[in-house]
Amino acid sequence: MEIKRWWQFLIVMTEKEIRVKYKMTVLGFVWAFLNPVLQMLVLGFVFNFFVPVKVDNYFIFLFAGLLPWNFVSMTIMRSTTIIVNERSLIQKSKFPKEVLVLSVVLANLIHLLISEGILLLIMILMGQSRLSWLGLPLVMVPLILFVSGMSLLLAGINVRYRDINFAVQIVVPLWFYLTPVIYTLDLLPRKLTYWFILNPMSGIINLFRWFSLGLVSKLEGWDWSSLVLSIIIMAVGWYIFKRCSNYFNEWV
Amino acid sequence: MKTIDLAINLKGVWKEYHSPIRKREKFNAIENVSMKIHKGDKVGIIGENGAGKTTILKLIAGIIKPTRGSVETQGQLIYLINLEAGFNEELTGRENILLNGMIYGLTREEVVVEEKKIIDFADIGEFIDAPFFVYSSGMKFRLALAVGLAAKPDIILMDEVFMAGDIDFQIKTLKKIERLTRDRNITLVIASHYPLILRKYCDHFLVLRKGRLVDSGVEAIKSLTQKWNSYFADVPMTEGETMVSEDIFYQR
Repeated sequence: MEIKRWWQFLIVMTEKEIRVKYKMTVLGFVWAFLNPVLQMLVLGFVFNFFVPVKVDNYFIFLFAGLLPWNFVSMTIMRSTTIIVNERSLIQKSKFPKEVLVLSVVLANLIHLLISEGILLLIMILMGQSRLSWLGLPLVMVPLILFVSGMSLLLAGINVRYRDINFAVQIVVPLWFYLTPVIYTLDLLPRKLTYWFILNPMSGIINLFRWFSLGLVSKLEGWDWSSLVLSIIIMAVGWYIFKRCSNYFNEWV
Repeated sequence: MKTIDLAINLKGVWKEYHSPIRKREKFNAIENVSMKIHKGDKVGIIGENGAGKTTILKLIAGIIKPTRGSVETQGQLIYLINLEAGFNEELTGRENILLNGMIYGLTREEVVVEEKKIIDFADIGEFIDAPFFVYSSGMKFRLALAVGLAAKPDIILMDEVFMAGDIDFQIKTLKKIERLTRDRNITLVIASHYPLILRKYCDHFLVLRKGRLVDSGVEAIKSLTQKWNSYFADVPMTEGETMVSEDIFYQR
């Protein structure tokens, strides 16, 4: 399939993903924003008392971290099973299978961008607009590469080993607590902090907070190592998915 | 005959699968099959259940890859099997046309151009803007087939799909396929158990047995017709009607 048709197909599949999600709902797209807001209020209320985070506005701090986190967790959880769920389509036609996974990434990315826009609007209303916002598209690069790579990897392997889906359901909620979404790395001893470099989401969320709120990360320049890790994960995910896709018809 | 006239060329094709019961064992669904189908040929594939008919069609369609050997096809190809796969139950018929047109390899612009013809052929009235889950199975079939045939194929692979829908639509479908294949010199490969259909549309017959191509099929199609005729011999016919007869078909 040539490039133009590949892109058109990705866009149509993304439209389908979004349309299907909000069919028969009253609030429709509002849910894209309402979900992280409700999460922010509940988590913010609980952790404000238990986590001694020294930031000016904990709710905004939390919201800025929840948006990229939700994008990653929702995308990975949905895409892990997508090839298995679309088994009849896999057996019907020859088409680029990676589009099934990437359309989930793109659909959730659109939700993220809308929610980010609303976050920035709230900050403008609070008189906290910043020039560093111009750098936010840069952080999207490691984020998109990372989530695409992970989604392709897990979706591909899950077709052969369905245990992957069970593992994802358990690991993703735990991973939330190993990622500085509700806390800052200042709360941890220095020598423990650098283990967080191995988790690309730590760097990505720190960078989101730096560009949107101006919060300096304790990982300093190491945050950008998430870009290197994301490129590696994307390359591995793409390779494994392509290898597995030769057997999808047999395995599904 | 020059290679350029070939629509489908299978050279020494093997397809090995893992046994669905004993995972460590493998079996050959297709064994060393070679065939050359020229542009405009109409080929019927006959064989008992499990003989490998669907596997051959999937190999030609490129949905699966051969374990050994090579499969080459020339031109736009559509595989009419499990037609409703890929149609999303939540989306309307119109929304599904775009999605499935692209699955069959059309560009977005091509689908837009063909949309009216698809809707006219499917002939499902106002239901085109209703969600797919309210469609009867016959309506689903009509829309799905209309999208498939709109893809302007050079090669049509059919796997028993024409035996759905009401009798008028079946006849309309068969006429459309007959006209398409005649006017546009389309290559047609049909896997079926129905001798009447095979003999009406095909001029070559291939017989598969346990994954092997065992003969070119004239005797097999005769035998299939005889079995069919003898089974229905006791059906009372009204005056002027005749049973399916050898005489009708062997005039070609």
